[in-house]
Amino acid sequence: MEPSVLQELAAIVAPQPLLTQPEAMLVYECDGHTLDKAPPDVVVFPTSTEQVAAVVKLANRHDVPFVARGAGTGLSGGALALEGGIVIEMCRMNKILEIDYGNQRAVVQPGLVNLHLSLAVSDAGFYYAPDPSSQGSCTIGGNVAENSGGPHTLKYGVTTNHVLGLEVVLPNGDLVHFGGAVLDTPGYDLTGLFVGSEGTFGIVTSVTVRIMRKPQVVKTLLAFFDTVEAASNAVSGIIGAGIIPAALEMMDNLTIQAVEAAIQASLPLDAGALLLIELDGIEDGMEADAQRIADICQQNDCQNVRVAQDDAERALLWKGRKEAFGAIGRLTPNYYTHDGVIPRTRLPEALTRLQIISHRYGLRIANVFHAGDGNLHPLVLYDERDGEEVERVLKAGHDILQACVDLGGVLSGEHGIGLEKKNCMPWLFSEGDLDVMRRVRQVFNPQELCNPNKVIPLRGRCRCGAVTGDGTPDHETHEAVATAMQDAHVRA
Amino acid sequence: MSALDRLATSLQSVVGEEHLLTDAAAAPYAVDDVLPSLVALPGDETQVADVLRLADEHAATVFPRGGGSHVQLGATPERVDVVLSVERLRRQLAYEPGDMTTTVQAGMPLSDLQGVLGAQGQFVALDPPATAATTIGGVIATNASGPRRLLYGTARDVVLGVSVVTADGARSKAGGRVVKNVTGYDLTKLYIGSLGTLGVVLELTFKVHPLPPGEETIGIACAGHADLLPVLNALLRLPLRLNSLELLNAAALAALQAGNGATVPPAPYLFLARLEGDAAVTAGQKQRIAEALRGLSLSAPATTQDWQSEDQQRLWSCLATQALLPDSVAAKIGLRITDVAAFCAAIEALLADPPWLLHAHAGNGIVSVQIPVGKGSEETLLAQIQALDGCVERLNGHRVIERAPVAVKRRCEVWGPVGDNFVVMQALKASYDPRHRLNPGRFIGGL
Ligand SMILES: Cc1cc2nc3c(=O)[nH]c(=O)nc-3n(C[C@H](O)[C@H](O)[C@H](O)COP(=O)(O)OP(=O)(O)OC[C@H]3O[C@@H](n4cnc5c(N)ncnc54)[C@H](O)[C@@H]3O)c2cc1C
Repeated sequence: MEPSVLQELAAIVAPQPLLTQPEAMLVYECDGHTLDKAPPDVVVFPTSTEQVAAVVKLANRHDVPFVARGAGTGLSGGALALEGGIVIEMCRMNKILEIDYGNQRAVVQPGLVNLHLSLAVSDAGFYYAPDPSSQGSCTIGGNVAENSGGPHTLKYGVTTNHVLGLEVVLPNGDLVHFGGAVLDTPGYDLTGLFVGSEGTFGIVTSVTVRIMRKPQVVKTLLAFFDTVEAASNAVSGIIGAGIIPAALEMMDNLTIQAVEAAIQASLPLDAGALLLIELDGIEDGMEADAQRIADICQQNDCQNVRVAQDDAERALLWKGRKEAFGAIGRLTPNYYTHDGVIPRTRLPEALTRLQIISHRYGLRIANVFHAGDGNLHPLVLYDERDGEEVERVLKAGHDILQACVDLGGVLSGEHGIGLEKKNCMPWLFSEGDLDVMRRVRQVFNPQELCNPNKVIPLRGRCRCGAVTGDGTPDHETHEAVATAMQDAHVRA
Repeated sequence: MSALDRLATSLQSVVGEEHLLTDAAAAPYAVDDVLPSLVALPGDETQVADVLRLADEHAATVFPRGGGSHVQLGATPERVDVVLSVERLRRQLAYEPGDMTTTVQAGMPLSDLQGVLGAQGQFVALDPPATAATTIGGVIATNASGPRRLLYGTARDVVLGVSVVTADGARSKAGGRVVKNVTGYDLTKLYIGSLGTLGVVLELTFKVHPLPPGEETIGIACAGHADLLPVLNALLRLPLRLNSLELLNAAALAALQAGNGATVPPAPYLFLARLEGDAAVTAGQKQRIAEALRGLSLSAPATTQDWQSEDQQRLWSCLATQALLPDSVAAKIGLRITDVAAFCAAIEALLADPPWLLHAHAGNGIVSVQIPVGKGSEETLLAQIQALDGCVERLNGHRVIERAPVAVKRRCEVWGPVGDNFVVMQALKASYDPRHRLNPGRFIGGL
C-alpha cells in the first residue's frame, strides 16, 4: 500500500497507531478458520463511527479493499483480508451506549464482547440471550455479521431475533440507520437483511439489541445413553411431547472423554452419548416438565439422569459444554469444526453417515452439537503438519456437508459461509438464486471493496470442492458413501 | 388491438379462459376502488412466472394478491393493469411434525394451515386479524401480526425460507427448510412486509410451535391513564408465561361489547393478559398478578376478571374481528413500550368526538387507533390524522395508515416520512424491479 495512503489513514485514527509490520500481520492473516490465510496490508483501530466512515471513504478513494474484524473467532474465514488491504479492527469501539430496562433494550458499540453485555445487565435481572460458546471473547458486531447462535437458541432464537436496530457505515462510507428501539419500522426490514451478511454489506458501528429478563428458575439435566441413536430418539421424544427446552445439546463418547479429562465433572466415560437439557421459565410446572423429560429419557434406554443440584453444578456442566471445543483441542494438534444443519428427525441417519465418513478417511470425529435444532458440529481431529492428512480432512469435510444437504439440510447453522463454504453454495442454490443474492450485495457493495469475494462464488467460478479446496462435487465419493450407508443399515 | 388486449390474449392462453377475469368479474379485485383491467388466477408456479413475464413484456403493472383481507394497506394506485391472485395456490407441500417445520403455498388460507397443524398439537405463531380468506402469503407480504407476538414474535421470527418470482418472471429461493440456517443472505427478511413490491411469494417454510397446554385470560381494569404505566411495568416484570398483553380504551371496549357479544366490563382502560399453561400453572401466575396489583398505589384499585374456555375464545376472536372494523381510519403506531401510557393520555386529551378506539399490543409498543368515519368529512378526518401524527411525533414513534377512505388516503402520507436508509430501499427496489411493475407507488416513499 502506498505510503501516502498509510499517512492519510494514520491521520484519521490518530493517536491510535496503525499496524503494518509483517510480524504483526500474522495475528490478522486468519480467524478461527485456520486453513486459509492472507495477511492484510494494514490494521486500523478506529474509536468512533466518524473514524470508521472516514477510513471507508479513504479506501474507496484509493480503491483499496477493507474488512471489519471483531475478535477474530469466526470459523468460516469471514474476517480474513482475502485480497489484502485494510483490516478495520473494531475492538476499541466496545462501549455500552445506553441501557433501557423499561423497554428491554440496550444500545452497544460493535466491539463489545458478547458476555460483557450480559454481565452489565445481570444485577438488574437481565441478560442478552444469544450465547455463542465463544461469548467470552466474540463481539456483538461479529455476532451481527454472522447471525450467531449458541446453545440457547432452540427456545430463544439466534442473533437476528434479538437485534432491533443498526447504525451502519455503508461500503461507500455513508452512514445510515436501520430499525431502532421501536418495533415494526415501516419499509423493508433492512435490519433483518443486514444481520448475517458476513461483513459484506457494510460496517456496523452501533447495535440496538433486546435484553431479556432472566428466567425465574432454571433446571439443568444430564442424561447418559449407550448410543447416539438412543439419545437422538430421546431428543425426538422430548420435542414430540411439545416441550421446548431452553437448550438441548448432545455430546458423543469422544467428546465426553475429552471434556471429563478437562473439567472432571464425574461424567461416565463409557456412555455413548449424553444430552444436556436445560429448562427455564416460571417455576410453575417446571418440576412436572423435568419429570416428563426424565421419563422420556428412561423410555429411550437412558443409563442415568442427573439433575444439577445447585448453581455451581449447573455452571460446571455448562463449562463442559462451552469448553468442549477446547477440550477436544487437548486430544489433537488441530481440529476442523463443521456446522451443518439437518432436519431434527434425520439425526440418527446423519450420525451414522458421520461414522462412515470417519472410518472411510481414517479420521477421528467428535460430535458436540445443538441437537434440539439439528445443528451438527462434527469436529474432525487432525495434525496440520501432515499434509496428506489435511487432504483427507478436507475430503471428509466435503462429505459431511454433502450428507447434510442430502438429508434436506444446509451448509451452516451459525458459523457462516465466509470463504470456507462459499464454493459449496451451488449445492443448495441455483445460479438464479445466487444471482439474486449477488444483486442484493451489489446494492450495498457495488465496488466489491467491502470484504470482497466471500459468501457467494463469483459468477461462473463456482466449481466446488472439498470445502475449501477445489474440484466439483465428488460424485464417486458421494455414491460410495451412499452404498456404505446402505451396508450399515443392513448390518444394523 | 391495445397492448392490454394483447396481454389479455396471452394471459388467457397461460391461465385458461376461466381464470382470467375482466370487467364485472374483476370488480371484486379492485384495489382501493381502482378497477383492475385484468385479474389472473394462475394455477401453478410456472403460470405465475409466465403471468409476470408477459406483464413485464407488455409494460403492464401487476398487483399481487392473496385473500384480499388486507389489500387496503398501501397508497392508492393510479391504475391497475393486472391483479395476480395466488388464491388457487393453496396446498401444503410438506409437513414433518417432528421437525416442527412446514412448507406451504402462498395462497393457503391461514386458518386452513392452523387446522392441519392443530390436529398435530402444533400451530404457526401468527395470529393477525384475519378472515377465512386471509392467506399465508398475504400475512407475510403485509407483515401482519397479532397479540401472541409478545411471546412468539412476528413473521421474521417464524419464516425459515421462501421462494419467489420476481418481476421478470424468474424464480428464486432463499433460506431453507431447517430451523437454524445462515447459508447465504437472509433474503426472507427482505420479502417479509415488502408488500409484493419485490416479487410474488410462491412458497413459504415456517417454524411451528407446540400448542400451549392451556390458556387463561385475566382482565385488569384501570381507572385512568395514570395507572397504566405502573400496571404495565408490574406485569412485564413478573415471572409469567404471558403470550399476549393487550390494552383497550373505553371506546374499544364499548364497541367490543356492542359489536359482537363479547362480555367485557366497561372501564376507562382494560388490560387483557393471556397466560399459558394448564390450570395449575395458570393458577400460580394469577396469584402473582393479584399480589403485584395489590402492591401498587393506583388512583383506584385495579379490578380483575377471568376468561376461560369458550368465553375466552369468543373474547379473542371478537377482538381480532374488531381490528378489521370497516368504517374507520385505522392507524398502526409503533412506540417505546414505556410510552404507550403517555400516548393514551395524549389521545384522551384530544377529546375526539366520536371517540377513537385504541387497542394496543402493550407489551410490544404497537398501538392500533381506529378513527370512526361516520359522517366525518374528508377534511375532518385529515385533521384528525394530523392530530394523531402530532401525538406520535412527540413520542418519536412511527405510524402507518392501514385503512382509510380512498379520498383520505390520496391526501395523506400513508407510510409516514422516510429515513436516511431510504436510499438503500430505493436501490433494492430498483435492483429487483427496475421497471416498477410490481405494486408501483403503493409502498413507503412511493416505491
Ligand atoms: C471456540 C469457539 C466456539 C464458538 N461457538 C460458537 C457458537 O456456539 N455459536 C456461533 O454462532 N458461533 C460460534 N463460534 C464462531 C464465532 O465465535 C462467531 O462467528 C462470532 O460471532 C464471531 O465474532 P468475532 O467478534 O470473533 O468476529 P470476527 O471473527 O472478527 O468476524 C466475523 C465476521 O464478522 C464481520 N464483522 C466483525 N465486526 C463487524 C462489524 N462491526 N461490522 C460488520 N461486520 C463485522 C467480519 O468481517 C467477519 O466477516 C465459535 C468460535 C470459536 C472459536
